[in-house]
Amino acid sequence: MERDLLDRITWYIPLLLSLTVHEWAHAWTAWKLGDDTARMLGRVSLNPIVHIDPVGTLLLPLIGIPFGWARPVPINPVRFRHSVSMPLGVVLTAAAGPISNILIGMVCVLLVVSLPIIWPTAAAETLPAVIELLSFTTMINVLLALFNMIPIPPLDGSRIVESLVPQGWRSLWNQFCSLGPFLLVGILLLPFAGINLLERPMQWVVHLLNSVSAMHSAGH
Amino acid sequence: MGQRLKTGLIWFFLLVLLLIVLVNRGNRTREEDEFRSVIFVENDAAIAAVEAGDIVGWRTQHGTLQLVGSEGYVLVCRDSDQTAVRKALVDNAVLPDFEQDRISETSGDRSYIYWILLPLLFFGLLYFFIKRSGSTTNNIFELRKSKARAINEQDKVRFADIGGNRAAVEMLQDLVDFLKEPKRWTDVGARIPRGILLVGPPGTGKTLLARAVAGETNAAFYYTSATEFVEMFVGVGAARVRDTFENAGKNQPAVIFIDELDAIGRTRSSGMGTMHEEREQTLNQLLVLMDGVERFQRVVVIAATNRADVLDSALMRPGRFDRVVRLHAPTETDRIEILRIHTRSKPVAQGLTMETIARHVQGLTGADIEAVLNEAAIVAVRRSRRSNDGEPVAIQEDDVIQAVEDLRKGNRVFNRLDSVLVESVTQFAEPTGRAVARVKTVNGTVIEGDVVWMNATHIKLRTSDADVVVAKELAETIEAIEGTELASDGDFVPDAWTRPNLDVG
Repeated sequence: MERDLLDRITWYIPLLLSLTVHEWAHAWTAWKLGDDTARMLGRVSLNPIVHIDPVGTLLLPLIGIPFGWARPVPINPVRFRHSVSMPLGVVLTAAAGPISNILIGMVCVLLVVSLPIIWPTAAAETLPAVIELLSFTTMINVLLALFNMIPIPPLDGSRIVESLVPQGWRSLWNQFCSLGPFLLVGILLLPFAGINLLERPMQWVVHLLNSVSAMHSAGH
Repeated sequence: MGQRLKTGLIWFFLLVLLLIVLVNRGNRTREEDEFRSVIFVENDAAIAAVEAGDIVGWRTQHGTLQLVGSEGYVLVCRDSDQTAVRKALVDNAVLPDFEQDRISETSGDRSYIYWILLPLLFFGLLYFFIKRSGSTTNNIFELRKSKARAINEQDKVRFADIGGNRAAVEMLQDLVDFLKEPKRWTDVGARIPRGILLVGPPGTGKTLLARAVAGETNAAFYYTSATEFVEMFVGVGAARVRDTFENAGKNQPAVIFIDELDAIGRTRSSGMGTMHEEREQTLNQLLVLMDGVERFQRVVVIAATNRADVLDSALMRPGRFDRVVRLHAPTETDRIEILRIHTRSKPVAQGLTMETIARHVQGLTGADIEAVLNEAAIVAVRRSRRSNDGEPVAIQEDDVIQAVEDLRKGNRVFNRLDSVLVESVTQFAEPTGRAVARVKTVNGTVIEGDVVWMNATHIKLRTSDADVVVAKELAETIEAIEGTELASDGDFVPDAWTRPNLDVG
C-alpha cells in the first residue's frame, strides 16, 4: 500500500502539471487573442487549484487511473480582437491546450537525451527513476494531446471541428454533438473491452523513448 | 504577485515531494526487483538446490510449487509431477513459507479491482457530464428549490416608515399582534387570517407594507414573486411553493410575500386544454398549503397584485386570502406624511412646507413621490454646484417643480413611443447591423435615415445630406423601415426585426 501511494505520487504530480499547463494554455491564448473572460475568472494561472475538476483531477487519479482532465476554461469568441475571425480564434484557443502538452512531451524527451550532460553527477539509482518519470510525463502528455484532439464534444478537438464545419453541415454536427457525452463515455470504456484506439501512437512514443534512453545508456 | 508566489510555492512543494519519493523509490525498486527474480526450473535442478541447502521455504500458488531461495530468488517448478521435489523438501526439513509475495498478490486481485473501478468511472463520468452540460437548466437538482429570499436585518422596515394607507396599516396591525402574541388570539378562539391580499396600482406600497409586517414582528420574511413559480417544467412551480412553505415553516413565525400573484392566481379555466395545467397545479398547491396545515401555524401569506379582477375566486375563500386590503394613490394628508418620511434625510429649504410640496406631487403614488424627492435633491445639488455660493444645499420649491416636470416628461415621452418599434430599432443600433428609421416629430417634420445610435433620450439619424440628432421627447412616432445586415443583399426580404444569432460555442 505504501509503495502504491508512492507510485501514485510519482505519476500524479506530472499529470497535475500537464493538466494545469493545458488549461492555462487555453486561458492564456484566449487572453492574448483579446478575450479576457478566462482572465477575469483568474484562469490565466499556473496554480493547479484554480483548474481542478473534482472528478477529472481528483477522483480519477484517486482510484488509480493515470489519466484525467481539468475544469474547462470558458471562452467568449465575441470578445476576440477584430483582427482574428471568431472561428480562427476558437481554433487557436482550443488547439493551444493539446499543443502545450506536445511541447511538454518534447521538452521531456530532450531532457532524457541531455540528462547525462546536464546532470553528470546523478546517482546510479536515481537516474533510472528520473528517466522513468520523464518518460511517463512524455507519455501522459502525448496521451492527453491525442485524447483531447478526438473530435467529440466537449473535447478540444470538437471545438476545432465546430469552427470549421460549413454552414450547411451545422445541423448534422449539432445532432452529433448531442450524442457527444455517450460517445465519449464509450471511447473511455473501450480500453476495458480490449480495444485501444491510441495504442499505435502510444507504441510509437514508447519506441521513441526506448531508443532515446538506449542511446543514452550506450553513451554512458 | 501574491498569486504568483502561491503558485510558485505549490509547485515547489510538489517538486520537493516528488524528489523525495523518487529517491526513496529508487532504492526500494532495486531490492524488490531482486526479490522478484523468478526462475523456472526442472525437477532435478530444484532437488539439487534443496539438497544444497539454498532453499529457505516453499509454498504452492496457482497449482505451482515455488521454492524461496535464501538469496531472495524464487524457483518455480515447471514439471507437473512434483512428488520428488516435495520428498526432497521433507527430507531436508524445509518449512513452508507463508509470506505472500507482492507480485502474485496484485496480479491475483487485479481482476476484481476493475469491477469496482468500472462502475466508479462510469458514474464519475456521468456526474461530470450532467454537471457540464446542464448550463441551461443550471442544475437539475436545484430546480425544485424555492427562490424565495429572506430579507436581512438592515433592510427591515417598520410601520413608522409607511406614510398614509392608515386603513391598511390598521388591518395589518392585527396580524402583527397575532404573530407576536398568538396566545391572546387563540384564547378567545379567534382564527387569524392566514392570507392577506394587497390590491392596488403600482407604486402604492404593497411590498413596503408586507416588509413592515415582517419588520414589526421580527418574523422571517420570504420575498418571492409568483412569476418565479412559473417554469418550463410541469410540477416545478408546485414544488417551489412547497419548498417556500417548508422553509418558512422551519423559521416560524414567518411572513411569505408573494408579489404579482396574478401570474399564477388567474381564474382557473374549465374543461379542455392543458395550456394552463402547470399554472393551475401551482395555484392548487398554494391553496392546499394555505388551507391551514397545523405545522404552518404561524406562517402568514401576504400577496400583492394590481389585477385583483382576474384572480380566481377560490383564492378569496375563508382561510385563504380572506382579507383584501385595497391601497390607492395617497390623499393630501397621506402625501404630507409620505413626504415627511422621505425628507427625513434630505435638507429642505426654510419656508418650503410639506403642504406646498404635497400640492406639487398631486396624483403621484408613494413610489413616485420618493422618486420626485430624490430627483429634487439631485437638481438642488446641481443648482448649488452651478452657483457655487458656498451655501448649504437644500431642496427648494423650484427644485421640486423641476423634478416633477422631469419625471412626468420622461414618462410621457416614453408612453407615446411605440415601445415595440423602439426596441427593434435599438437592437439594430448595435454596431453590427444597419437600421433605417423614420421619425415624425411633433411639429410634423419627417426625418428618415440610418440609425447611427440611440440612447434613452436621443436618436441620431444619418439622412442623405446630414446627420440629425432628434430628442425623443420631440418625436411623435418612430417607425422602423428596415434592418439586418442581409437586407441589402436583395436576395430575399428578411424579417426586419429578427436579430442574427451571435451565440457561438
